[in-house]
Amino acid sequence: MADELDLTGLDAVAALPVDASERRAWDEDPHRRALLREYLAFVASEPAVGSRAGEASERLGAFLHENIAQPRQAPIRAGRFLRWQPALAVAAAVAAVAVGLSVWSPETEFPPALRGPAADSIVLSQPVVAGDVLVFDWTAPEVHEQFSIVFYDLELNEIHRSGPVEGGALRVSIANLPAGFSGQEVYVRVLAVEGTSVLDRSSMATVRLP
Amino acid sequence: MSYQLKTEDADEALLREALADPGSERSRQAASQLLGRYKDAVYQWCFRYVRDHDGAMDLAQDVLLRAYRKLDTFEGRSRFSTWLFAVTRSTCLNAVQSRRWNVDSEYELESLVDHAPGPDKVLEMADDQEAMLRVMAQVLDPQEQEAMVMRYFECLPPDEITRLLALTNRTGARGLLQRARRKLTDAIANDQRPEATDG
Repeated sequence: MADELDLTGLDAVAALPVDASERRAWDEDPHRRALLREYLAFVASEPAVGSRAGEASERLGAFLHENIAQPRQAPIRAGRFLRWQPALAVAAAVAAVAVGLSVWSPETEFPPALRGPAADSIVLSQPVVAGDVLVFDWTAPEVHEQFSIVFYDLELNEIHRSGPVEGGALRVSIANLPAGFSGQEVYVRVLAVEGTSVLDRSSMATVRLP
Repeated sequence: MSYQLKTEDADEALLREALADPGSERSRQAASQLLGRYKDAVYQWCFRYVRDHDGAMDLAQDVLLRAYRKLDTFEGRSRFSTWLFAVTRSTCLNAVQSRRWNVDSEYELESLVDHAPGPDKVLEMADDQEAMLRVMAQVLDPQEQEAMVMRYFECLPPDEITRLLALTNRTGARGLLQRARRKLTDAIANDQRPEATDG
């Protein structure tokens, strides 16, 4: 398939004059010629009509900062545990506010949002392995009605999709997942869907399959 | 064809820093800075594939994370931009193929089956890139070949092919692809026709 092509020589060929013999030889193959054209368009990075370059640049910068430069532990969501422990939840909230007030100053910079203001509108709790099923639960704005859980391998290839379901929870039988991932970590996230459209998405969480 | 590459020296310096002590704060910051130099290019390329801002943002984040995770596999045999282009292209192709973005049934290669005898032969060829390229080389002109490769092997949308090939005709790549498909269908049909016999 196309992605098996060796692209190593692209930059060297791109730097050659169009009449150089190596460049001409490369250009004789329509697939290589297409790849060269694509590569040059990639590095030229001209804004496409309809793209939101400024917003994308800002959000991707924030994404890199939060996920690579200054990664933080996945936030512990007020999910299952706190829902069943109202007193602890109240205490935790009070403590958080107290700490927040003690360190806040007008100059405090808030950390950049991962995906913009609406990004974390769906919050996926840490998935739980319960016997031969994975238990997911999440919170989402009421405007969303249907949800799917998507599984990715560590290369971020989609490996499985469950749903769509209504509500805020889903149990996925581990037997339904593709073979070969036993004992491995995978990424998961929840999507708000409507038909084939994805309306919103949660941040990624990781789960180790039994 | 003109183009501008990022400063290679700066990429190399950041890459060295990123790989010097993987996991350290300094290393992570260098990796973030290096990928940040290309984040706009990655987003634009993803957008050209999916034609949707949110979809492109998702894809771009996938590309950047994947590139970060695979950074230690970069062998320095090419510029960093080339390596990142390969990661971006591969991620986009996988996404398009698995999520069926960009698919226009009129332009599916398999649809040639509807117009030609010997569907097994056509399907076999559609799966065999080398065989299809050979037929294309025989019956299509260079521009048609390139457009077909971009559409069927690179999964690019017709509008993007129009731009990449700098087509100025009214129908752009759609007209070109239609003409190429017709030629291919005819060629395959002729190839399948039983040879005439005397008497």
